[in-house]
Amino acid sequence: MNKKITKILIANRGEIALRVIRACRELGIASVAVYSDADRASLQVVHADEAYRLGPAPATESYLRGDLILEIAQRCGADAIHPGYGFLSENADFAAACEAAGIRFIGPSADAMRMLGSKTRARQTADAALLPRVPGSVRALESLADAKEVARQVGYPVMLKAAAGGGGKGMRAVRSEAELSEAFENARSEAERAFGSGDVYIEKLIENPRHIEVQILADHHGHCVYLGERECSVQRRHQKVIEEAPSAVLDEKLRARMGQTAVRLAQAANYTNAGTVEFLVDADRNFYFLEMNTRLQVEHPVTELVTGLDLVHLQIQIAEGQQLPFAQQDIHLRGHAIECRIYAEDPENNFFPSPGKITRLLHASGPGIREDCGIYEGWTVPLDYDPILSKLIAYAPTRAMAIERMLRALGEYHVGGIATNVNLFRRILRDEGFRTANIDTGYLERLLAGTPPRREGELDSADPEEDTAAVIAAGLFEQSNFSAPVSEEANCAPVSAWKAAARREALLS
Amino acid sequence: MNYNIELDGRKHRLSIQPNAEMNGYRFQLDGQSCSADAQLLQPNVLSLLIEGKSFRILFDPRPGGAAIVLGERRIPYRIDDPRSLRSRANVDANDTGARSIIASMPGRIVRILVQAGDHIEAQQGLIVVEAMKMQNELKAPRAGTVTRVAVEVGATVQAGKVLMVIE
Repeated sequence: MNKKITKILIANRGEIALRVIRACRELGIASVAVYSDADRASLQVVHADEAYRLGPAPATESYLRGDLILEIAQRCGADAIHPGYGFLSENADFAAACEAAGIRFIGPSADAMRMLGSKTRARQTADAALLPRVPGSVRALESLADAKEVARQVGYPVMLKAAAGGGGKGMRAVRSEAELSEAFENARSEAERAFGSGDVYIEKLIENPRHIEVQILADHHGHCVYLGERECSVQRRHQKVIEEAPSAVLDEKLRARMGQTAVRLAQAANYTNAGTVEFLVDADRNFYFLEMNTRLQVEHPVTELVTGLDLVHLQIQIAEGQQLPFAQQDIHLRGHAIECRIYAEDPENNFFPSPGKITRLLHASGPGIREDCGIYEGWTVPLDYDPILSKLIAYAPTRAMAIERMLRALGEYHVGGIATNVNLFRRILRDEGFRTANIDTGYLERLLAGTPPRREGELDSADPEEDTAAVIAAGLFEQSNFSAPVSEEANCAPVSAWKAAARREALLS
Repeated sequence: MNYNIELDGRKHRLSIQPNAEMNGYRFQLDGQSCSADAQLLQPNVLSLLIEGKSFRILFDPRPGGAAIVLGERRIPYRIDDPRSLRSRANVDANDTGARSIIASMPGRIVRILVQAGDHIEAQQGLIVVEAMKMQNELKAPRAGTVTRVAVEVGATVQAGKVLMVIE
């Protein structure tokens, strides 16, 4: 078990693939990317030491092809596979196949994953470990009739959830039996497409809870620690939109209680590597086990910033058989971190996905800003996968300053050519409810249902200078596009085009 | 160069006079003259200095229409210049009583919930389109009859594609 890893295949794409490749490089480990036809020009291919084609764009023919991925790993001599999040990351059969092939799966064992990875099995494990949990079914529903029966027992409103799920896919709130049939079909179909399993289960819907999750790390020597919590209450359709660490409502005592509960669950399943135990926290600060994510989370950077740890480095070291280099009492939270998930979707148009070509990309940087990014200027965002483009993370001594810092960074950031949700973050970060941490999982839907945002493009008539600047810019862009089209490809000094245009105009007039 | 620019519902008349001594321009905007220092930092990224005030302005072309991005605002606009292609207004398909159900984004057809000839109620689900792993059910804008289904399950469609016609 105790053996250095020398080459890691990253069975994922986008920003998380790049995140892991970067860790590999920092640790002197060779990295291998895999890609679908839609991702030949993606950053994971460019940044990895080696890259191999998987297949056509659909995930079922590429990133979900565990057999192909293992074959590539063996062929290129990778001794470990990092699954990232999504795709095969919570697929116990894949983890088992890796183990059988003598390739380390950077994550928990297939057995632990089976006990915790499927939402239904996790609930059984949680019951055995005496965790407080939300009432509902502990097995997959067999039919609509079965669903009706369970929903009646639990009492409406209920949640339909994908057993293999995550990220809000295959998830539906159902308020009455009349809505159940359609929701059941849609949830099953969405789950089937997203995870390759249409199994769904039912859970009682807790009204307006906070979503607070605990990051844990466990090595192969019986050590398990919790790294504080993340609050992910700002959600839309059960998709996390903003995450932060720490939560504004946890004190040291509750943090320790939730942390110890999370550790108890992990130990009950002989869990190893990084994992996240999700809880719902109600208005009286009772917490209920929701599910466990047996992988690295999208929002892991906020934990990294407030703990000063690198979770991917630690995942790799744990997989090598090393002991955790610290104990629980060595973990201290410092400062506050907020993450915004930048998505290719249009909040002005029902949040419809907006795949397409990124014509311009201006990054945010400066003090306390981290960007985990999977895109570049000129990249075409494919329609085949999640719309996540990049994660912007702000870190500051206090929550209030982290909010201001994020607003500052969003002002620097620009993605041209496709719609993104950047303006939505501004609206949230300026909202009194968010600023006072008065949030729950229904917060964002309520905010969006409230006073509509200022119509896109509407100018503040109180600022005539901006008005003037916008009109002048429109004219100048028109002129530059007409008389001196600047090549997107050519890296010639663009300023000269303006000068040339100016001179030409001067000659004409 | 003279332009008629409609921005934020207001019409402006702009004339641009280059000032070759600097990277500057003189403008007549709605009869008022002003000057500005303009630097194109890279294609579609403009730095404008107007009496010392600094603006970073971006030109953002999108399939749905180009816009100016200034600070937090994305401002669609129309510009009239006889030589410009962009001045052509989008001609919408005429509403002849038949209503087309149109894909508002690229995606794949996952399910078709009605067939030609079906009578449908307003808000009834018609077709499910999936993009980026999210399924969106398009609903009937009003009651009527399905006269044509223009796609099949499994098809990949581009934004703007007519999926179905109801009358």
